[in-house]
Amino acid sequence: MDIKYVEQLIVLFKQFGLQELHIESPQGKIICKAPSGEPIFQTAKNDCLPKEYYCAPIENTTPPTQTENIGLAVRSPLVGTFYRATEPGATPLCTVGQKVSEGDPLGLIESMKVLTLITAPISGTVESILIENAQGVEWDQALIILKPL
Amino acid sequence: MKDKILIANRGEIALRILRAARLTNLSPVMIHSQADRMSLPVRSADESVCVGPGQSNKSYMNPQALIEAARITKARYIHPGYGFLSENANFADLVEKEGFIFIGARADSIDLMGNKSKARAFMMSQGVPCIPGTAAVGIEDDLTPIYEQADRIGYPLLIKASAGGGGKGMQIVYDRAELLSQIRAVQHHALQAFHDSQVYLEKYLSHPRHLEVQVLGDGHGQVLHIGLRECSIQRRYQKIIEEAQPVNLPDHIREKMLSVALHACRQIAYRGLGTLEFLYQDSEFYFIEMNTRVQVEHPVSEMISQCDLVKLQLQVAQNERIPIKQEDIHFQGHSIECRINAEHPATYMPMPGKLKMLHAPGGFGVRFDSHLYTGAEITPLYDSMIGKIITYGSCRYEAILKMRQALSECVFDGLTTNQTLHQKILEEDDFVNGQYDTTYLNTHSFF
Repeated sequence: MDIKYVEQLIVLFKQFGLQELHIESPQGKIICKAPSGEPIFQTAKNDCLPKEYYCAPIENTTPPTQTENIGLAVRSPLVGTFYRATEPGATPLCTVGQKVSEGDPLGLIESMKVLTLITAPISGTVESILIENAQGVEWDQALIILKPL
Repeated sequence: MKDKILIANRGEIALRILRAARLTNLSPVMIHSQADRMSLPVRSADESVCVGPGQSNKSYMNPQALIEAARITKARYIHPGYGFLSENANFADLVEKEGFIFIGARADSIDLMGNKSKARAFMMSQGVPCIPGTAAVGIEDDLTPIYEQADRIGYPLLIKASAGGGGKGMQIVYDRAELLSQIRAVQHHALQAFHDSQVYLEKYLSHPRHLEVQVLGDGHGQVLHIGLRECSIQRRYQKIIEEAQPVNLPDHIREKMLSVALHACRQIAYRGLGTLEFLYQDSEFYFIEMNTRVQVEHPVSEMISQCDLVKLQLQVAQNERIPIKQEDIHFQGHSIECRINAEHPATYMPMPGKLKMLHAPGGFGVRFDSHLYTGAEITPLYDSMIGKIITYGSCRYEAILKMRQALSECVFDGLTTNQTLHQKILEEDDFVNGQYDTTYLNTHSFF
């Protein structure tokens, strides 16, 4: 590999303030990483997906399940990313302590560019929200606990 | 040294472009997100550059990262594929300003066709029939002139929010008496949903067919057509089965559709591959939009014309001329494409997962365009389309028979796909007889 090429790369890497750069070619592989600081590209859990998914055919919604006297867990009907609001910066569809009626929207799950609305299976109070905004969710994962009225 | 082509996409279309690059003496450079590091196109490329994390807005849709990838690898061409930045005029502009060749339409064409009302006005000025409609009216506007226009178009009418799309913010109105209340209702809804109360009326087509014309231009006024396609089998306003050529279509309609499409494209000296989409009902056709890029369903046109459309697209970019003439293109036989999606066959709910074992279909006149392999992960980050089965037969019925067999040979073990839905459609009488329109999946129940 030409050392001049590597030098040029380092200059460009710094010039554009990149945090990480991978180049692969038949001549070899180069990985440049910035020494420290906040990464530009988020590499957290969000895009590290679970290795195996449970993919049985399912109906539109998964029935809520009773968790010992705490309330009803609203579960994810699919694998995707959970959002609390309809668009970035908008008011969350539900907050802890809020009273909701059956059918009210609680959040959204984005999967494969399709948004699926998660609605309240019963009327009740939002007891807790178990997941952060924009986090990955798995099939059947508990999202929100509702306390029946 | 070979010129390099940066393929700014993923999945099956990335592989499709890569294969065409091999035929045109171009060295393929793949960009990819962290999630696609192990993908087939990345492994098949001469070079690859990671441009960001899994989320497409930070990787595949990050113009600056793509430009840097092209600069670092010294690429000459950038191919945007479909989706992502393929119809983004600013990106096309940026690519050319930075000194690369954008394999696609010029920014001015993308801009013209990307704006619904501008595209419509242009097409009407060129004599291309459009769906009769009215001007937009806001919540404060007087509705008197609208009544007159509505009467002229005739009921039923569709009220559409100017800022809506994909079936959102629409309402059918059947007679004059309900017009006022329905317009106000849609305006209120539009104001809440899109912060814009503007709505317009359009002739309502209750059972249109979706037909389209494939074009290829050299950017200097030379434009060819590569026939028509029928794409009426749709779910959620997205195509799942396409065919070429459309059946049960009168010759004079076919000829007129081709000639208006070519005329409009010549007027703007269209460059690259493009598709003009039309709705067809009661012996009338109406322009709806133009896609200024390669389309998912391009293989059915390739099969019946024996033209490699992506190769032609690259050749046009390399030489600024089309290497074939219209009279060299002959259509023969029939082709059908089934899009295989990782989704529930009845509810269409997305179903990401891991493909434990893949068995692809085969045989004479059977083509499987896919980036999948045994062990591949299908992530929730991207579109659910995981491959396309394309069959070619000497007649439509033979293409159907081949598709039935191909669908029965396919194994996508570990994934839920719409394979069974395709199998049911391919056995259904209305489909087999070529008697269908865009309402097909709403009027036929398979599960």
